[in-house]
Amino acid sequence: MTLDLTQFHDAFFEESFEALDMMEASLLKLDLGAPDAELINTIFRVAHSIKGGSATFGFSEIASFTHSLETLLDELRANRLQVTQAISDLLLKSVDAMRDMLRAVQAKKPIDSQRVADLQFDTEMILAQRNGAAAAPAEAAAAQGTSTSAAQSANASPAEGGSSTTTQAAASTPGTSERRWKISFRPYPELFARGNDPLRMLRELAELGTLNVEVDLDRLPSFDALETQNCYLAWNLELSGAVDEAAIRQVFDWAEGDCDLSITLESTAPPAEDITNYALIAEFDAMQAASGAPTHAPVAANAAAPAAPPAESAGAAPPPNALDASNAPAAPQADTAATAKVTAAAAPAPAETPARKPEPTVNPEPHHAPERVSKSEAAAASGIGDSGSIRVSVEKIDELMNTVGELVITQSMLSQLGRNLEGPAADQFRLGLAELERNMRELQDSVMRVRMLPISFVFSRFPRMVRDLAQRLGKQIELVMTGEQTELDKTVLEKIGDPLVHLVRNSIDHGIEKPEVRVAKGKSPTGHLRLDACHRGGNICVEVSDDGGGLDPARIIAKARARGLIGPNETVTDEQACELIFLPGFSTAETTTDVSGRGVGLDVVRRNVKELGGSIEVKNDPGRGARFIITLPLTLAIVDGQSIAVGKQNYIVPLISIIESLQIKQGSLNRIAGRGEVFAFRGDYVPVIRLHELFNVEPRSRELDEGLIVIVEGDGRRVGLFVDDLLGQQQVVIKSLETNYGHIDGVSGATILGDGSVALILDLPGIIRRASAGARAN
Amino acid sequence: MPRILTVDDSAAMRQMVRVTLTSAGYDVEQAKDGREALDIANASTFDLVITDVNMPEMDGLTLVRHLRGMPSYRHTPLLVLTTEGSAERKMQGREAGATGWLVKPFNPDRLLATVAKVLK
Repeated sequence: MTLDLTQFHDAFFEESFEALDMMEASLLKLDLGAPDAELINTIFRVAHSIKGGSATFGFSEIASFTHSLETLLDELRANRLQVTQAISDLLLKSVDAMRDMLRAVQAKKPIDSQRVADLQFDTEMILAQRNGAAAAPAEAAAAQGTSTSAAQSANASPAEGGSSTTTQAAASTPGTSERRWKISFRPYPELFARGNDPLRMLRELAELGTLNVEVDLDRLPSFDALETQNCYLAWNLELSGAVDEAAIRQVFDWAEGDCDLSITLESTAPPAEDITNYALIAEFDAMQAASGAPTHAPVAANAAAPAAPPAESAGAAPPPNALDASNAPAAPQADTAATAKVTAAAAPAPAETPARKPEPTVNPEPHHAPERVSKSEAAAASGIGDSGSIRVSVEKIDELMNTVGELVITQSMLSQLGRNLEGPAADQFRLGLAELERNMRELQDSVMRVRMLPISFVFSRFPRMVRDLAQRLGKQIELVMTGEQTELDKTVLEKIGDPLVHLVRNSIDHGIEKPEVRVAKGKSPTGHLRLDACHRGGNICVEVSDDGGGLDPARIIAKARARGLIGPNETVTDEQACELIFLPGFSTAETTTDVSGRGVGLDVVRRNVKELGGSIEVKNDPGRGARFIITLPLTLAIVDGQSIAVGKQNYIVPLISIIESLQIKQGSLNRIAGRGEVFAFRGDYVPVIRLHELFNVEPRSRELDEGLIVIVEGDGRRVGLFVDDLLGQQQVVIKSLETNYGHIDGVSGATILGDGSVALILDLPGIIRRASAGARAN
Repeated sequence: MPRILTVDDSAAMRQMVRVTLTSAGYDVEQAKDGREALDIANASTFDLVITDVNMPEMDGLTLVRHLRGMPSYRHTPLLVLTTEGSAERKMQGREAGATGWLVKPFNPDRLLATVAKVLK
């Protein structure tokens, strides 16, 4: 059959990339002193399956490379080689190389052969050194010189060991000439125990040439002593044809160790009697049929005029039959017969022994109980065979998400209609609507969950990164990660990677000190870097913290002054100083390194996080470390919002940022220069932002006691929004304003309300920024 | 039609084996490791089991050992599909009770020829 293997490429690539990630993670977990056997096995398995797949698909360079790697891993697995730093490094580099090779093959681009050859050379070197021979380096050099495939073939076909020995000389001569082989095949009684079938072997032999079969019933016990599980028959076979010994051995390959086998080359090759052979096979079939084994079509014996082969004995003498079976055969021949020579004339004999107990069969009839059947059907129906998950493209999910979003709008439209409905059916209608709303919410949650992925997808890159960077900078760093299973939206996940990388690099480069510095400070020489993720309220919290030097406020302030970010006389608290590092153009590193200095500052990190609707803050403990806390929304698609009214406009305030809504008296308001109107709230002065001023709309009232103050928090600051009224709370689907219109400071997006009108979703940090800029200008 | 259970932890490999065997008319069920295979084998019967060796959860040799111990699989051909063609490996397979082995790389024609041979 012709099967187009390319249809399986995608599955292979995807699987291999995942496996490589796993291999990398396992390598990083590997403890050099006492490596975990299961980890090494996992690593081995990855190399092993990539090798298998590559060989299958004809990706020979990858197959060759992984073969060397597998050999090395096998040494590790068998404890013949210790995992050293050098080997661990080599294996990690090999992971990178395999990844790149797979990518290249996937993109149908050439592989960087030199790099692969270099790595393979290193691998072979380690193996050669283990072998310890003086000539080893030379061998390895030769292996590299003579292309990778040569190196592979050196390892690819280890000699096959076995219980029966043979001289390979006869087998190695090309089997073109006619030969006559004598084969003694004496299965051990347990042959059937491994599911092997002598009939299959005889049939295969008959395909090779002209086969003469002689059954040896010597060991056949009397009927009552017959053990159905055992094989009692033995065979003396004569095979003529252009066959070499290897081909014959191949037939018995699986029975090796379950039989005594001798293969001898006869000096003369008399013509075989076709008819006899045919009859013999047919008769054997009859025996099998009588014993319940499956029948088969008669084997066509090849008629051939055998030439006289060279006199040469290839096989070792067969050991005498080890089994002293009772010699009471069911066949008509008496016990005296050492060998019951079954000829064409004697053919009917076995068939005349109908009382014979059935031979054990190779393919027992399936006899399953009814309940088993139903269970098996259940197993089949449940689609076992794949791991119970399916891969779906993101576009499809986004499409679904979008449709659900539209549905939510339609649903809230209906709810609004239902509220004004009157008449006998109205109550029932509203009941239905409530049901619809509940189902909508569930549907929305389900679809949202489809888009959720554990943050480990982002975290997984860090062990390797931290290790490599620490090594490069001569630092000792231990990375601890928690909450890797915390799930968040795929879009958020994709965009949080870069900011996290930046923070981690910063920590390693600027935060954690070199071992000698740490020791001098009375710390442990090994620095600790933590990545923690967790749910907090409706948000996800991701923290990057270290026990390094922390931020130095004095240095930050000095730098900010030098760069003109703050005025020469402006006093800055330590806390405010830490905020300065997020300003554009700020970098305290004296020289930019290739680790953290790429012209990108923390301002970009903050911007990225803000674009995700999140926030970032830093908690500094000078001399003892810094903690960067990123707060992110679960999803970018939907927000729980509070509708507020200002004049004729509706706005949405994300529910998560609302602390309290209250009415205040005119008198409780103070005016502070530079900060505008403030009022006392929980022992603090909170500035009031009049939304109608900010958005330039006509309010219902300008009197504070006629409206409401909504206390909200953004960027760690609290403000009171002065609004006309609070409307309902609802989940709203966020529609990007930027893709449909343009960016507006203080607005993070828009949504369509149930009545079809558009409401802007407020971006509170932006609003606070806008308002304070306005206040300063005043 | 003969029923075949194939076991491999690689989805790509499973897919290839399934397509190959079903296109030849066999009834194929699949498992991704030895443990899953054992569950399926327990719930049903098969005329042939083909298993990969190196798998998580339960490796192929352990699976073969378990199956051989079950009355309904005592004489069923159990083939080991392996990339490791070393004599040592084959010996281990034999000792576990495997009927024979197929050495990867996977080749559809060779697989079908062997399966046909065993199931005849």
